[in-house]
Amino acid sequence: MAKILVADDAAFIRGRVRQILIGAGHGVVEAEDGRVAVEAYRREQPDAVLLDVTMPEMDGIQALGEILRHDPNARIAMVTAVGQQETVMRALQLGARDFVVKPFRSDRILDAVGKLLRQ
Amino acid sequence: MDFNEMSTSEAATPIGWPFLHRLLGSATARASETLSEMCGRSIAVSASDLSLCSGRAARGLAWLDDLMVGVRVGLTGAFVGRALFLLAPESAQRLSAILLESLDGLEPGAAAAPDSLAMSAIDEVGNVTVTAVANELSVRLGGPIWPSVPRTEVKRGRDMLDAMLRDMATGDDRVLVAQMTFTNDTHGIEAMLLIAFPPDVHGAGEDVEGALRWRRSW
Repeated sequence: MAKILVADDAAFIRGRVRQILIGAGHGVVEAEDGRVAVEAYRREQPDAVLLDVTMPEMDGIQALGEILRHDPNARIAMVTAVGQQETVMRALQLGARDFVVKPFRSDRILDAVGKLLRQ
Repeated sequence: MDFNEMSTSEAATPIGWPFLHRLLGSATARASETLSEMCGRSIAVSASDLSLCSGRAARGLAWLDDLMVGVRVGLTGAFVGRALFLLAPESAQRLSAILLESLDGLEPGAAAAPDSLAMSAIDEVGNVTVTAVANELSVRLGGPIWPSVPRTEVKRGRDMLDAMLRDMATGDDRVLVAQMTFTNDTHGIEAMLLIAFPPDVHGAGEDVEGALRWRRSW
């Protein structure tokens, strides 16, 4: 079982992703914004991170940078809405390893997490 | 809110009706699939009472006086416009409850609470619905369409429509209005989808009216 950090300001999305991941046998840590996600990463040392791009306090790109500064080997996939291609490209250049576009199907979330965990 | 009023709104040109019906038929099938997968139970989405009118005529719809839950999404790329997904508060509560019931680990009664969790669920329904339409439009217009991050708010319907039309800033926008029905088991929940676009917007080499006219010839 892997521990996955899910960072998204939308409570419903967090709940849905939590359900998908727990259903696949993973453990889940949740964060409602980028700052909380960075703190949770330092505290929990998760195996992989699903990081929403658009969040209050600290957005996903900033949180990505902070987490990678703390742990250059962090395995992070960005979760993004359609239309944020430029931001996704920037995230990939910064060190994100994959991205998932919302609205997503559960198999896409599991694919992304599986890919992160195999790296 | 009297959705039947839609049939009395300013009549639109019949150009492109078959195209629009096919487009919304495919989009609602896609939205049904996504929402059903999302909440683990069948949710059928259908569109009816299509109307294409001016922004001014859309502003005249009486049901827009009501307080509503609205999800606003901008569209750029091959189609430039704005989408507004509107529900009466009680419909939003019923629809969000269906989605939230599918989530494990909620406190008893949380699914019926009109809180940020419920708003977040409605935000996602609006996102799924508008993205499905954008995807189908994208296929038919032959170029990518990028929806913005959805924004959900509770206001008078007309205020949200005004904000959407102000955002377009062209003054002579066309508005596609469709009634959306979300059916779970036997219960139908009604919503409205409004998509505003400038009549002369160009994208992917052809304007929207032109695309509609061209499709009709097939």
